[in-house]
Amino acid sequence: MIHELAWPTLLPLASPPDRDASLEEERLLVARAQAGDRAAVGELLQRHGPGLYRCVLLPRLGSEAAAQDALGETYAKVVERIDRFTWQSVGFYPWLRTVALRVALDHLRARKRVLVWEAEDVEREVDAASTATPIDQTLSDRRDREATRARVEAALARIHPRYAHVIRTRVLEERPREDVARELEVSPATFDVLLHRAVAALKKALTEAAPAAASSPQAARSTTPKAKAQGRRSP
Amino acid sequence: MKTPDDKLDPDAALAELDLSEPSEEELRAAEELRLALGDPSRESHEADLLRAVSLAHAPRPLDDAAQRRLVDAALARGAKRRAASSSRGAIVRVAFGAAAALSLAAGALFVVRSADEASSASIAAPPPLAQVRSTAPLFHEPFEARGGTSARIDRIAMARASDLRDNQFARWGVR
Repeated sequence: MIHELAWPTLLPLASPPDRDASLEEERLLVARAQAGDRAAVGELLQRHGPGLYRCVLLPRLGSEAAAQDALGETYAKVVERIDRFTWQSVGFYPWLRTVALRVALDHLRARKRVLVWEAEDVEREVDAASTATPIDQTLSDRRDREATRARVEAALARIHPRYAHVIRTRVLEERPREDVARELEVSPATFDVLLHRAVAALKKALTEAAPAAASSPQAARSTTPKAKAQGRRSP
Repeated sequence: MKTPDDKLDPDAALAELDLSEPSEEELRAAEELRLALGDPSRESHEADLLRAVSLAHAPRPLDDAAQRRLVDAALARGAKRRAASSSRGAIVRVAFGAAAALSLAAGALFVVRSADEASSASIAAPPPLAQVRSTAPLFHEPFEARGGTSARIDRIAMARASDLRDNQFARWGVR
């Protein structure tokens, strides 16, 4: 049973011939884009942009408006600098992701409030992205999703189970306030106080300890001394 | 009113759990959070954090219209920048060409004028210069064989300085 559950993550996402054909098509697209073909640039952005938004920018920036702004900036940088891209065996996405991470880093530095990801965490990811072996988008997206979920779960694990339960039911499961209050056998007003206290505890947990290197597989795979030193610094 | 943690299992009452009665300020903050969660336009850091947690846990896809708009905007901006940079390049090329042409013309004029001046100078007669002469005319009165040397030398030096100035002015053509 365990093997059956483990199988899907081990299965290749596309058969090698398909993947090779897709990569070759993308390589030609990149060559056209670098030669000044705007339609080819647009095609590359159409192909990779939605995944970049959903797996990289939105989880890190924590708001749809901020993530869309960052995506727009990322696209502008790609249009401007695509001639600097050197083709890699896994395609265009790793470079695009690094550009997006840098944009996200700028946004997080400009914003002073606590979110799930801190600027320092993304900085470590940028370091890792510049040194780690590039991976294709499917794998990269999966790792990003896992890292983000792990980060949320780690933060919830650090606060009192009751607070974690309140956040989980009301925010992650999006259940109505009255339902959750009824389940907890408190009044809705009391539930509001409980949620308020849960948020304060979560904020404290996120601020005090963010073991980014441990919860972000892509950052943890970095081999740079800087990233290693930063990883050691985290509790 | 029941406190938020009335139903807590005492064993689970960790240090992190706030069991105190909520203050007036806390009640206001909790109410503000409730309103902000229902209305995203209300400013609330707490609500923003909860939304960020929700989006990190289950990120929503980007809708096609927004994606199309962002791609189009980036491409349009890139095209505008390219046009601006190419027109800037054209201006630079034109300016450089004009400057080069002007430099060439000025150089040619300088060469022609220098040649003219040299040839006209060689044709024109040199200005008359003061010649070396005896100092005798400087001394109408007889002077003593001994003494008065400084006065004599001063008179000669003044006469020679005057000749030197005249000669220089003559050479410069300003006499």
